[in-house]
Amino acid sequence: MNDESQKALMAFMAGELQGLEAERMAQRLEREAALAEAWERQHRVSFLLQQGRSGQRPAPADFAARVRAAIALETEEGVLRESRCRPANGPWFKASAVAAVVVLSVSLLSFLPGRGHVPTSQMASSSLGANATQAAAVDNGGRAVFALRPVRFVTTVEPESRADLLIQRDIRRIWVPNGRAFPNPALSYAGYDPASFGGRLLPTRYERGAGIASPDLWAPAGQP
Amino acid sequence: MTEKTGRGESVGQDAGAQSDLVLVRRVQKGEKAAFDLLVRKYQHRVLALVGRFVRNPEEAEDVAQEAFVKAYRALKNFRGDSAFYTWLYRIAVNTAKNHLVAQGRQVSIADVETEDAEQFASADGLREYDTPEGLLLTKEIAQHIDAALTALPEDLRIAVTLREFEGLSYDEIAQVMECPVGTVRSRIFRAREAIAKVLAPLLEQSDHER
Repeated sequence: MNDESQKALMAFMAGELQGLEAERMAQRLEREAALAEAWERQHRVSFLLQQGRSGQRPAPADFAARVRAAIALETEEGVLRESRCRPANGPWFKASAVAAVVVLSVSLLSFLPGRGHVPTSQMASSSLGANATQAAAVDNGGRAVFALRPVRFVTTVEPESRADLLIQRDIRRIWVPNGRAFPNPALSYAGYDPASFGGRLLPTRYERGAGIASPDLWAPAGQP
Repeated sequence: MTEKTGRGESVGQDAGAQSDLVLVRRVQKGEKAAFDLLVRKYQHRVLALVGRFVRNPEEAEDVAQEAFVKAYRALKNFRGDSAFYTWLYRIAVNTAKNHLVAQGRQVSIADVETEDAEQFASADGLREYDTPEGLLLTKEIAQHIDAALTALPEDLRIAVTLREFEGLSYDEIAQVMECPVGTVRSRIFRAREAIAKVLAPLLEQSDHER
């Protein structure tokens, strides 16, 4: 980034750009990844300098990506609308969360090779209710795009085991390791190591007929 | 431009209110990427604010995420009567309170009004990290910050210190340092970039341990 861009960014951060200049800088920030990353870095360091000594920590590196994914999910799939939402938490949630693990395990595993597909309508109507952002991501057209965040490294020698599917604490992010090799019973499966990918969200898609897949790591379900 | 508000001053809040408004207007016109910039800017303060109510760090992250999603939904109705960050903090506080109520938990800071949110976002000390590991990390972060500041060339160190710790505006720093304001901007940018490099490994480690 050249010196002029640095100065312009700093001026924008301080609210010193007006009118067209401010608009142009906003446009550049939206379009230039390096500039946007510098924007984030500058704010992160500023926060740390001011608050780091007092025990406050910055948000995790993937936090903004998580928000982005949640908004994309909501916008593109038309789910999580207020009118359809039950309270995000409550006594019912604890009970349904337990059931949800089972329902989602069955549903998602059924998308994997050799297991046949569960109708999308069934997946969307799992007991997760409004909290099932992943499950509800499936639209009527049988296609969904969402983001998964890995939970932890996992190794399993039993491909049929439910250990193949990990669900994060809030049931909203699901990680299905071993998609590429699954379900070759002759192999031991090494799961996903978050450290290798900086813990970032993985763009993931579900398509009727192809199943669940991540363009980054997985072959589409149905292929070895 | 009003930037200085004392210790833990609001550089990047009041100071950037005008830029926030530019980004908000762009979101309202359909530029989703502009909202991402607002998230990237305010994620740390919103998470810190939510953390005052929701002590479990993982839970706090989820509540903070929900607050941003709610803000995105409601942004079409934001008219700019207040600063964006005030509005955002209000949403974050209400989301955190609702979260606790829905879980049948008592609101831990019962007398907090949403108007106080800004102060809480900048308040010292987050107790959820007061574990031995958390305290150790805090100490390490402080040491790295001090080391990074010490290693900076003097002109960069003075500029960033005046900005971050004294809350001076770029113009005021330019007067103190007797240099053009553009030079001040450049120095602060480079100082923060240098500090970011020093802190990056520690923050990565912190992320993995969350």
